[in-house]
Amino acid sequence: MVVLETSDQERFTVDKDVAERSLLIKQMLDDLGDSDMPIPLPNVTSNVLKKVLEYCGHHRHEPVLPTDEGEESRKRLTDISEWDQKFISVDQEMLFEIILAANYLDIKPLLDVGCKTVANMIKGKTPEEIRRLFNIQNDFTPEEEAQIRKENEWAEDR
Amino acid sequence: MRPWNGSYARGATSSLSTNEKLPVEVLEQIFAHLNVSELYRCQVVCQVWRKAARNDSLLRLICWKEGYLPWGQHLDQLLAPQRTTGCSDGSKYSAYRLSGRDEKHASTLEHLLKTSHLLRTIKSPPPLQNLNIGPSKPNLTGVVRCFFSSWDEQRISNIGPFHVDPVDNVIIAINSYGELDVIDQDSGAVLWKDAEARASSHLDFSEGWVVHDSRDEDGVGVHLQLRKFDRLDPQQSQPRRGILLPAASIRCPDTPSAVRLVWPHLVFFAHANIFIYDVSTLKLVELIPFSPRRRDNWRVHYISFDEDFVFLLALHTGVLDDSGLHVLDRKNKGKSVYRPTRCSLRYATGWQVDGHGMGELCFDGRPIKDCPVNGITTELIPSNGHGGDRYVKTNRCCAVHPDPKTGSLCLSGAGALVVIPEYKDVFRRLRGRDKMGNPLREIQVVGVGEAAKAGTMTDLALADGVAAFVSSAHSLPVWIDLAALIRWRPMTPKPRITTFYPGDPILYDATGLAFYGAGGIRLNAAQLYVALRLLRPHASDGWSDTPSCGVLKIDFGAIVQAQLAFADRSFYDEPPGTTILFPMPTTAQGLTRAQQREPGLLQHLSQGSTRELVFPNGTRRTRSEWLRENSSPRLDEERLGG
Repeated sequence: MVVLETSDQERFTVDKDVAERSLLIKQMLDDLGDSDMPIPLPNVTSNVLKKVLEYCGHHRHEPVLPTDEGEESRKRLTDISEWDQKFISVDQEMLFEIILAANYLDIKPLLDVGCKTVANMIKGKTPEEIRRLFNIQNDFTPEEEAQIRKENEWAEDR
Repeated sequence: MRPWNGSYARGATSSLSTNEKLPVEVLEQIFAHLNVSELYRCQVVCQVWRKAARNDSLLRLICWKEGYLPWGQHLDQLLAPQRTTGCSDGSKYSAYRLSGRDEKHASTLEHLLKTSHLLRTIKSPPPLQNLNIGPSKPNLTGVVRCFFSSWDEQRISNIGPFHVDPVDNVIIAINSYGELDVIDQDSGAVLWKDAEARASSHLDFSEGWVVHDSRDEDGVGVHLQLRKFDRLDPQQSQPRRGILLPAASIRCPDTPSAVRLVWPHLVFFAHANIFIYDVSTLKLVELIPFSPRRRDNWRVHYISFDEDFVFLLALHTGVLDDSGLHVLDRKNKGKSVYRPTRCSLRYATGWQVDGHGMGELCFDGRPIKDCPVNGITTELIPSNGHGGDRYVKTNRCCAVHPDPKTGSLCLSGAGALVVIPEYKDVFRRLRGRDKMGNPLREIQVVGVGEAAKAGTMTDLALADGVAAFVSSAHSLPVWIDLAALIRWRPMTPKPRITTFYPGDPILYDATGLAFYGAGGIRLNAAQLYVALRLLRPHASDGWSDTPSCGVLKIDFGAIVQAQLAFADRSFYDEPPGTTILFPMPTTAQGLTRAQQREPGLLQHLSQGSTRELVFPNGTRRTRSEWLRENSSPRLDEERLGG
């Protein structure tokens, strides 16, 4: 068993194989050796870690390194499994928190699921719709924006 | 604190905008799942997104995913973890970054992406025939260019392998004397030269890395030398320079007979083993034994690989049956999944290329140069139906490469191209033959040309679903769209095969040179490069006897961009009276042959009878005069407008 401590000082006790889905934690455990010291995760809050551990628990029996052949994984680039889809159906803020936590904890499959979800949200939207969706302020001047649109005209689907 | 801008993001409970939450590195990861048009739409969103979406490694990844960059790299290799890099905001930690080369090539990659995308989406591909790219079109200089090596005239007759890189903008070539040249594509200058490489040289180039073999001082041991190309800082008064920095040296247990470098992997065959090194860490990552049934008289002469398989071309001088393509499974300890005796390859569709010899191609009644070409024309003729069952052997093939764009495996040999469509499926079925009930007895292939004949100087290049090959030492470069070739069904338009020939206006108008044979070919999505044996015109005496050697570059991307720039007037219309340098076969026979081969050429000739042709010996003729003098009874005078 491994003890993890979040930024809001909550402690989680989990099985070693679940915790080791995170390559960061695996590395830390390897470095520490046998120890009951809680592992501090200063970048993750308890509600996010709960969610991340749910993912790790569900995928605990899968190999850590993907064995997919390149072509298949490329074809499935935007496909997300049903369980993962349900898991990632959270509000936007939680989605970003999960992505950041996966990035920090080095859980590549979870990071991919999060990034694919965001990418799917972006697909087919105009820049205005993207700004509205993610609450981004347009910091281009109208002239700049027109210029960039003109430069990028070639890339539009036709 | 950012001012509240009045809009609500779905589900957002904090007033922080997305950009303050997601660092650039994570944005890159998200953008990696988009396609080109989606990525470029994201650039319009805001400054931060624009910066993130124009990142070098991201563009490289997109180029790779769209098939614009060469085959062989696995997505995971481009997304390799680099644990030491921190996030741009300083506080967060990023486990994954797209890795690759230095972050300074974004604009070059963007250019590649742009031209490739334009090439692919433009309605009609640029017709090379009729294209006036001579000095009269200054906007088009550099569309067709020749690059020369620094080698002694007598040493250049046999150009060895050469490689080009759109990102570093260099050509790297080696000759049969082991002299290595790095040529700048902007200035045409030789940036770097070296004579250390071995005479029977292997050379490969990938992502700025060069590998070649060298012999130890004692003359016994053999090393593979790894070098890294680097641009020296341009000084104001000095031309741009470059250097090949020694990076590492790998001692081989035996003379390697086939070498391939696809970053980050270096693969070579030596001493009955396939060695796979990771160039970034210089560690041996895989060792696959490959021993033939009889060890004597055995040679592996070509090697390539993808993420699943290693492809070998082996030649067994004693037992021809086992010569040819061998495929080994990298995921299963190098188990053999295909060898020539396992099952046969059979033509599903076969194409003959009409074989006109090029020997008669004359200038002023004299042959330009003996040109024993395995005739290639732009016309493909279906060869199904006669000859009954058509099986193909790979024992004479000289090059093999997988094409990720169409998922096919291409083999080329003298006068032939053999394509195995959906090769991964095919080899998987071979691997699991018991599950299917029946073992696979035949593999359906698509073929162009006769069955491969013996030949040494052949080369094959694949990019963006196009296969380009040079089929023999005195042959013409040919390129063909693989998807059209594979998908062809009776009653649909025939796939196009494109070539150019000695004295072709494409070459001559732009460079003033003719050629009599090609040595090697390279391709990316926007440019074609061919190593040619070139002939220079002599003022009084036709063509010079000593050939020189150069690399010809045809920049399709630039042609398309010029087409767009000339959109308001016809791009191909030259002003009347323009003097065109144009060497053509002057015998009637030669012209007829040219006409048969090249309908577009006839059109070129028939346009504008007032224009003058200036021949290298100084004679001037208008086209109609020249045609009248040289036309044969079979020429359709009316169509020529003469």
